[in-house]
Amino acid sequence: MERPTRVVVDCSTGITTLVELSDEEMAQRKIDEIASTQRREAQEAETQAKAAAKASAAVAVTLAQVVDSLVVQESQ
Amino acid sequence: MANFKLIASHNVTGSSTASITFSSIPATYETLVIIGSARASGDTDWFKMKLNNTGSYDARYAFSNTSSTASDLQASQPYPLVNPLADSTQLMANLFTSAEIYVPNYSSSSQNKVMICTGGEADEGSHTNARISQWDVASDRTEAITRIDFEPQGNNFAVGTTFTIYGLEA
Repeated sequence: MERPTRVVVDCSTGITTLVELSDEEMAQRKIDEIASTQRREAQEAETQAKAAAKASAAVAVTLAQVVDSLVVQESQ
Repeated sequence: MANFKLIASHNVTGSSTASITFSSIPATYETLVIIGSARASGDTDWFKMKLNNTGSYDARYAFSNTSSTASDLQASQPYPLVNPLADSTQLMANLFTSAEIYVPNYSSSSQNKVMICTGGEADEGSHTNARISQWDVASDRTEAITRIDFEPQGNNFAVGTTFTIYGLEA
């Protein structure tokens, strides 16, 4: 597999060079990849939790409205 | 009136570009302005911006971030994740993130550094939200900035990613 490269643009000369990542940079990249995955999973879990809470609240409101309606009917 | 002067630009053409470095940035301008159009080649949502290739900025940054999910608020990162990054695994083809970054007084060796970073991406795939980000970064570091690195978190930039750096004259 082709080793990833770092593109270096020297602003004083305009010359662009490609440098293969060092072993240390490759290790950091792996750590970053894991962090990125964890971050995404946390975001998705939060989004799902919010959606579930919203749906639950909507059900509670509907039930309360039904109860209120029955109370009104009974009092009449 | 202030004038924008092109310092350098890079357009990614190879599929194995892990980062883009602008080095030997001239100290002759008032402000650096960076315009980016970026996309990751894989499952990565953010890209880093490193100043002078140092990781010692963490905990020195103050972040202010407006995004669609609260979990995007970050008190501390090894490097500021300045902008959302279009993700090839979850977004439609050819969708790129837009990013705009200002670094005033970058060449000063006595003033604290500030960055104003704005970015965003549309929602055209399985992402549950479109994302916008505003990072206001304040640092107590004072050294002149001569190098800036852009790097996706653990992935490569997709072909077509472009970063252009301008100098803003006073």
